Amino acid sequence: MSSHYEAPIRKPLVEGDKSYHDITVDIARPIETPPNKDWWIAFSIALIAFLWGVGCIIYTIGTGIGSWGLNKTVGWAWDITNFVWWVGIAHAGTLISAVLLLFRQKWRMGINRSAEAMTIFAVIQAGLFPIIHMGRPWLAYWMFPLPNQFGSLWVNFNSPLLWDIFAISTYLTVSLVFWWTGLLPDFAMIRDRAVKPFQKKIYSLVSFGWTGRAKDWQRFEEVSLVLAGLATPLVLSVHSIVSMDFATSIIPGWHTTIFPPYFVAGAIFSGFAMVQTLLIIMRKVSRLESYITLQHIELMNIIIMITGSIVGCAYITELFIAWYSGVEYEQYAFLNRATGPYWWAYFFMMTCNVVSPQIMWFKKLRTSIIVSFIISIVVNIGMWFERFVIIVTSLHRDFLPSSWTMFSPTFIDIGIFIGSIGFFLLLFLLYARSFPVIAQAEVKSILKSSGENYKKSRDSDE
Amino acid sequence: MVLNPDVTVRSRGVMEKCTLCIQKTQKVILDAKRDGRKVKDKDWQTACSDACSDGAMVFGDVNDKESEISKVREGDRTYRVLESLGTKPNVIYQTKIRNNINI
Repeated sequence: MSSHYEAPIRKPLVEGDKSYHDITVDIARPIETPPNKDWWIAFSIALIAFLWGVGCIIYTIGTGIGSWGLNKTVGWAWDITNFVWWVGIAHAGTLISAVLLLFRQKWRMGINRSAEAMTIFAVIQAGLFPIIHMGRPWLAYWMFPLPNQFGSLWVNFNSPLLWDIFAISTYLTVSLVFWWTGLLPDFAMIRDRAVKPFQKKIYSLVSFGWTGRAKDWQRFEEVSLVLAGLATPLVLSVHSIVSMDFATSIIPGWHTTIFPPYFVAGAIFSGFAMVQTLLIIMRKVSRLESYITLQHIELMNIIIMITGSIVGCAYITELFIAWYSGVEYEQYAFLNRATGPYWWAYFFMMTCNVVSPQIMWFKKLRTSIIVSFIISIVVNIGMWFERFVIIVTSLHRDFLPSSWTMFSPTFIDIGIFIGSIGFFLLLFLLYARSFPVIAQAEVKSILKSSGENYKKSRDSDE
Repeated sequence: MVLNPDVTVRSRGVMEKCTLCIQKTQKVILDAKRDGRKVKDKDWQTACSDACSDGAMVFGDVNDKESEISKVREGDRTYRVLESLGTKPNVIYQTKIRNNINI
């Protein structure tokens, strides 16, 4: 695709003495060998959490969303917090695969497959919450502008909630197509190695008859580029539109113009943190340290630090503008966030999102795997609290002091959230054992320019 | 509710949002259309304004400039809750009668 030369000062993207065949074997290993005990333990835990969540969802649908901790004043709480959290997490995948592809950042090749998988699984979790929140999820198709004979049934195009449907369904579709396109040559590789007839049949189906002709590759490159071009604006649009669910309302604390860019930065921030969490575990468990190197982790840490700082600036801007606007409602909303009854949530948000990523300024810390792992978890906790703070603290003190109240989650609220985490991990664990978790075809394309052994032998020649 | 306001889909004990008795409005408009006449003020009421014997609640068609509600709406006692937010609510209130016009 581009140059076959990489400067000696650049660190190799593929470590160790790898040949093309070694890459094939390494990527195919998790698929071709039976899972070990640790995988089964993780799988069982995820399955239990998932089933618990399913139980809570069934209970909610059976009894109604009165089973949640919502009340007249706080009509949006954990469900929408979880929704925004998962959509945010879903942002890293497309950023890594599309934006970094357009910028020709070769380091994305080690991580894009899993980041995109994570994106798709996170969008699925996100989609769950608004659908359950409807109360009558069997009427979910009413959200789409479908021609119908009901009479007055039509969607409200003025509502950002409708824009959300379009934004997220487009995002899911484009991400899925992009992901699957990249998977075709890798599925074909697994298919060609498969010995069991059933396995061969399945991988034949999912690889859509990939043969590896030059024409196949040419089309593959073209489609990748077109899809990257289509997906790039989506990185910005999806979370902008999610932020408009809030920003177009008149609630103090929501009604701000900074919301779209601030939400996008926050989304990329949390998305990278989740990629970091998953990949640090996966590279260890599936022995992929040669492909997901310390350099990949360091670069992701730098992105986490930058986006975390953008989010921090946004928090401070919000505070400043609340004061500068001279609007009493705004001033009170922000004072109440920081010092009101939910001060602890604000404190968590500030510490986890603004302070913690700043330690990545130190090379020693951002190249430490254990520090990276801890920070990635901390950031995701912080980003959950950010959404909680935005949603609940803005609502719980509304314009009429007579309706001021507090929110506390019920057993069901917590159960559905834990269930969604379980579902997400379940999908990811299954993915890790049935999909080629690294874009091996792409990694092979940079092996000769960026493989450690090739770089070494080339440098010694000079 | 939006498709057929004559029936409720909620189970007993679950409150529905106030629709200002849209089913009554719908019936009056459809009956008037069938009979080929125009709807007029006091053709119909909401359940609450109907039940209110002292006239504390008034319901009507604000597009009809001659209706009682239009006159009440133009009065100087009229205000809306949190009017400064600009949400233009359809429910309006009246301050109590004072001897002083300066509220």
